[in-house]
Amino acid sequence: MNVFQKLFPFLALLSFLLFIGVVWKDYDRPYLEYQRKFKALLDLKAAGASRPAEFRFGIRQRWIKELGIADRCETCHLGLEDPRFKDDPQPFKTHPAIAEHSYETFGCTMCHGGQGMATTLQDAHGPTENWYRAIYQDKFMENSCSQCHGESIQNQAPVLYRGQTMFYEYGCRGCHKVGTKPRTEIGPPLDEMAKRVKTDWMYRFLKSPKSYLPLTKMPDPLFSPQEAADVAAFLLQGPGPEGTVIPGDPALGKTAFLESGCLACHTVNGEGGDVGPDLSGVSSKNYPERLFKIIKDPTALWPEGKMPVLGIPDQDIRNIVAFLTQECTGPALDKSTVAGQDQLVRNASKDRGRELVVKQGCIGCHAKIEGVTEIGELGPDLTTFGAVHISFLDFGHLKVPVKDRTVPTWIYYKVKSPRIFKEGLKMPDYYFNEEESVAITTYILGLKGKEIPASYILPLGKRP
Amino acid sequence: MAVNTTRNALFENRFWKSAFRGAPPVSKWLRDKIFGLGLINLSLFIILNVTGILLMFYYVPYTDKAYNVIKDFQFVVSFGAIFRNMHRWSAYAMIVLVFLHMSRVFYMAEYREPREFNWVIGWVLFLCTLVGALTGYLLPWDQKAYWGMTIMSNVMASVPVIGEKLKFVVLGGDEIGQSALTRAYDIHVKVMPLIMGLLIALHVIRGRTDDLLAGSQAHGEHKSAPAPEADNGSDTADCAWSDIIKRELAKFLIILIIIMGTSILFGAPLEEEANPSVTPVPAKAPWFFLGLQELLSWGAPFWGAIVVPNAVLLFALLVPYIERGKTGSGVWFHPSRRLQNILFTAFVTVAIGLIIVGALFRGPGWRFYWPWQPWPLH
Repeated sequence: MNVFQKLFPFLALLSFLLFIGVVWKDYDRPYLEYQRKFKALLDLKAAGASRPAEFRFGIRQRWIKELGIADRCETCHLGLEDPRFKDDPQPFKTHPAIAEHSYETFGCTMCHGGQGMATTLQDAHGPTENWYRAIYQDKFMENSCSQCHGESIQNQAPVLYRGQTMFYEYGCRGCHKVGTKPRTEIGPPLDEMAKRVKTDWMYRFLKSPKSYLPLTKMPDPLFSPQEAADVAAFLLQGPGPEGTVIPGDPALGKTAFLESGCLACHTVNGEGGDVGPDLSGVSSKNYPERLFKIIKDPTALWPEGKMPVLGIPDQDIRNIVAFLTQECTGPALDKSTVAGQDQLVRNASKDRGRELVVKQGCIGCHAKIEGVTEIGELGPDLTTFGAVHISFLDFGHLKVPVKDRTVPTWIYYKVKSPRIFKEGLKMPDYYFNEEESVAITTYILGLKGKEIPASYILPLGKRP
Repeated sequence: MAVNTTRNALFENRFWKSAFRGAPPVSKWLRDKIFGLGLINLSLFIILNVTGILLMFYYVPYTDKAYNVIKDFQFVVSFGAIFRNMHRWSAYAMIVLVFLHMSRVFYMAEYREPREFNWVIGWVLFLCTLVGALTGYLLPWDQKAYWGMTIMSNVMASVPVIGEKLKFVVLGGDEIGQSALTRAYDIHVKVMPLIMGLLIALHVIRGRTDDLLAGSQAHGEHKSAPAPEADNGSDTADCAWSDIIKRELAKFLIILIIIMGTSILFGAPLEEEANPSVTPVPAKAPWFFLGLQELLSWGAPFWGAIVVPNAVLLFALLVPYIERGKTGSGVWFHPSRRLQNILFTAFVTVAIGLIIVGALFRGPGWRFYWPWQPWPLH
């Protein structure tokens, strides 16, 4: 007898057992465990009721034809619509009230992300090898609102709204294209800088904008000392301050300063508003000649600026300038330090400075930079960045566990600390805190460029 | 007695006898065969057909739906995941085992007269196996499928002069889209099963008739050195066929067990949905064509895509008609065929080596990486 013939009964038995294994494997789906637990809970809750709880084991699915999605989340999230489960742990917890967003129309993944077709925890929540779009953690979830509501959303989605507002207020649009939105230059124009600001201040400001103005929207370009000096040298080319200022009386100037209501917008030594820049150190920045011009007619210098023409008589302005020159000197600096900074800028290379200005995209926010004209879009186009594929995003040498290697995490890190992934990146650092970073990330995630059926589009009123 | 009467009534009537002829006598060759790779391949073909037909009940060859159907197999359809796994692993096993079957026949020089033409049929079946596997590779419409097929179409396009046209005809367009999927599907579920089914039948029938025709001539060595169990020849006539059927059925069961076990333990690969704008780095051809991609990566598309593969195929096709020697048939590594065996072994080693290099040692930009060496991102 052949060895195969001897083995035949054994093989027949083994193949039968394996067939049972196949059937068992197909029957014993991971979701059944949750359904059994849910049924036990349901029985407990229905103990006092007249009718026993009805429960059907098996897959639950919501098919939203218009959106082309089939969400099977409710296979495990069974208590979704049952108010009795509001205090139970996930996956059974009752879903909070969702007003007009009925499950029948929107399903789950439309807002939550993740893989609706999947019926195992790892696959459904992601990310997995074949589904990188993991469910959104709570903090980024409002991005989904913009799919239907676009940018016409306010207090309904506060995080999204905040991110959207910040995106334009901080001039992100200066470098990053978003659809057809026009670029807004949010910074002051940079013409005739040599007539306006002092050399050492320019250097210090470029080196660290926030140490001069903690509330400035100017991000930190993270220049090295030499780079800051180069850029300062480039910006300060051209003739210095012109004309002479007739000296005024600082004491009268203080009165005029207070009476003219400057403190409504400006802060001096910790007092005043924060619409305009803090003036506590303004005389370390501007030449008196320039301060006079600014106060006399700010719009002539910066038409888009917020400061109005106040119509203060010239003599009062001279007194105010005298007051500012005397009082608002900022933190006392060592003479030799200042001289050293002056020297550094004087020895620096204007050409390298120009290269840096072009590379950093200063033109995104600042108009009238001499010798730098329109150079196109500087940063990546964000029109559909919320739908970017993870493989385009490089976490560099940042150690991120695989489960967090998702698009939201990447954008969050990028916004919070733009150069975190590797050296040589261009984006300046805004020093956003966690909340601000989450808000901006949420806005960017919402920029999906996905086509949504027209019946789902619902603007919630015009943006202010 | 009653059993015998029933048995006679069942099997000894005119209808049964007209439908099922008595089996032809069993040759010594058939009786002593051990590997049975041919039958194992037939088993795989049967498994592929059964699971394939079941998968067809759900699958739709539309670019916007195909991937979701695969997800349904994976998560919802009863036995969907397991049948898909079985289909995939059987197909991969069949590629390997058909090749082994051919190798065995070559090493034993069993393509000698009068079996030359059966070798040709086997050769066509091998090509059909590859075409079937390649077309099936595209059907899940995931990244692996899309970019594997992209590489294959680029290989086609690298053929001089007619390359671009060839690619256009095969894909039904300039790039992989609905037409390519439809074509792959039709070839995979209609053309290939039909052709292969017919050819397998022919192959088996020819195998038997050639065997009877050749008698002991084709296996001369057996005469001089008979196997010990061949001596008690009296029982062959009576129970050989049932023994053989039992033996082959046992092999079928072994294959079924292996395939079911593998399918329970390992899921068939599935990547993200096909996305023309996201190129995997590096994009690789299906593994069974990786050797060709590796060969092409050395430059010289004329040699890599045309001359070498076609020369090898043509040589393989014609080998029974070229080879002049008459000795060594039916014997492993017969000394008189040392040159042929060395050449063939060298070819097999190179072919497998190319596939292994392509599969394990190639990273982004098709540069060399050790398998344990991490790939740089971008």
